[in-house]
Amino acid sequence: MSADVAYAIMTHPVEAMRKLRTVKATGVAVATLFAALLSVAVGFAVLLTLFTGGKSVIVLPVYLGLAVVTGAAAWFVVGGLTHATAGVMGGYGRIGKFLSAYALAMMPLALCTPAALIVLPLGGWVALALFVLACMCLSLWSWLLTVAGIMEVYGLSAGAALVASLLPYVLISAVQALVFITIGAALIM
Amino acid sequence: MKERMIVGLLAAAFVASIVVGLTVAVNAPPVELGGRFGPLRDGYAVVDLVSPIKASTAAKVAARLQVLGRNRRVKAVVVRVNSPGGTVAATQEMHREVVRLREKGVPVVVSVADVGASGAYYVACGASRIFADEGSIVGSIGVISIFPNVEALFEDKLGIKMKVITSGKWKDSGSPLREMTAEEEENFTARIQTIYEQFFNAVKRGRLDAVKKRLAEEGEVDDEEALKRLREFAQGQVFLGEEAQATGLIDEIGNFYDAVAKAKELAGLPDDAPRVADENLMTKILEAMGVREGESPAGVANRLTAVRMEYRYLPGGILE
Repeated sequence: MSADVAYAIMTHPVEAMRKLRTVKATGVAVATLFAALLSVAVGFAVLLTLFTGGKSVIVLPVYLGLAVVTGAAAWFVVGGLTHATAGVMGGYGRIGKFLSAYALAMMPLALCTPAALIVLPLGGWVALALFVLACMCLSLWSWLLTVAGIMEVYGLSAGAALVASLLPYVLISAVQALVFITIGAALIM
Repeated sequence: MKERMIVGLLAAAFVASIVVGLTVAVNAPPVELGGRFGPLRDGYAVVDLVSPIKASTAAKVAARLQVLGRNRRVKAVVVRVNSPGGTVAATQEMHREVVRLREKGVPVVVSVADVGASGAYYVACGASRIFADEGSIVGSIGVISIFPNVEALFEDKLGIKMKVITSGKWKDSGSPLREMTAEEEENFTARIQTIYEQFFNAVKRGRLDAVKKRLAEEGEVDDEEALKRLREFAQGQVFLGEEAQATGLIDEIGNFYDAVAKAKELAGLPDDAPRVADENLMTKILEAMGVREGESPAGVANRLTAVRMEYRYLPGGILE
C-alpha cells in the first residue's frame, strides 16, 4: 500500500492526493519527509565542499541533525498555517490528511543529493548555478504537488489552492519584516 | 508488483546517493581556507615538521607526503622545519617520502625556522631547495647515542641489585644496569659509524652538487675535493643559516614566504597560486585537543635509560 502511494505520487499525483482522503499513508509520508529533508541537507553539504573541503565526522552529523529537525519543524508550522489559510479560502479538510499530503509533496526534493553529486565535478560557479537551478525546479515541482494536495484534501479550486499555498509564506515574511523593523528601530533609537 | 519494484529500486538508489553524498562531504579534499571561490586550482601544499623526530612524527609526516603525492592539485610542497632531529628510522622514513615526491616531479622546498639540525637536516637533504634564515641553526650531521649507567644509583643509593640472565652474550648490550664492555663499545661504535655513513650518503646525494657549486665560486674544484670538504662539514658541527649558505649546505637565505615563492617558481605555478590541501580544520582542532598524558616518573626514567641512536642536535632537547 505504501509503495503504491509513493508510486502514484510520482506518476499520477492528483489521483494520489485524491486517494489520501480515504487511504492512510502516514508511514510513507513520514519516510518521504525525512528522505527529502536529508537529501536537501546532504546535497548542500556536498556542494559546500567546493568552498570548505570535507567536513569532519563530528560536525557533519550535528549539521544533518539540525537541518532535519528544523526542516521538520518548518514543515509542521507551514502545514498548520496552510490548513488555516485553506479554511479561510473556504476549504474543508482534516489537518492530518493535509500534513500527509504536504509531506508526500516533498518527494521531488529527494533528488537534491543526486543533483549535487552530478554537478559537483563541474566545480565553481557553474556547479553552484546548476545546483540552485535544480533546487528551484525541484521546489517548483514540490510546490505544484502541494497545490494539488490542497485542492484534493480541502476541495478547493486550483486558484484558491494556489493562494492558500502562498499565504503562509506571505504571513511568515510579514512577521519577519515586522520583527526586523522593530529591532532596527530599537537599535537606531 | 511492478510499482513496488520500481519504488524499491528508487529507494535503493536514493539510499546509495545519500551514502555517496556523505562520503563526498566527509572526504572531499580541503580547499584553501577563505580562498577564492572558483574551480579547483593547482597550488602548493605545506607540511610541518616542527617537533623532535620520533616514530609518531614520521607516521604523520610521511603519510601526509604520500597523500599530497596523490593529489593532482598539489604541484609543489613546502616543508616547514623546526626540529633538532630525532630517531634514525623515523628520519629515514620521512626523507624517503620527500625524495619520492621529487621523483614524481613535485618540487619540495624546505624552509628552516629556528632549527633544522641533524635528522631534520637529513630530511631536508632530499628536497629540491633548502631555505633558512640567517640565524637558523642547520647541520649537526652526525649520530649520537647515549648509554646511561644506573648501576651505582640502584646499588649504592637504592640498595637494589640486578641480576641479568641472557641467552646470548649480546642480548643485554648497552644495558643501563652495568658498565659497557670494550667489545660492546666497539660493536656499538661500528653501528653508529654505519648509521653516520647512511646520513652522510643522503647529504652527499642531496647537497654535493650545491657544495661543489659554492666551492667553484672560489676556484676550480674536483669531485674529490668537494667530497672532502663535505666530509669536513659533516663532523657534527652546527652552522648558522648564512654560514650554511656559504658552504652549500643550504641554497638560499629567506623566510617561509621566500620558500613558497621558490616552490611556485619551480612548479611553474602563477604567483597567485593558492595554498591547497590543508589538513581539515577539525582534524587540527582534534589534534590540538589530543591528550598528552602526564608521564609518570617511571615513564621518564624509562625514556632516559633507553638506548637510542639518533640524528639529534642535543641542545634541542633529549626528553622527547
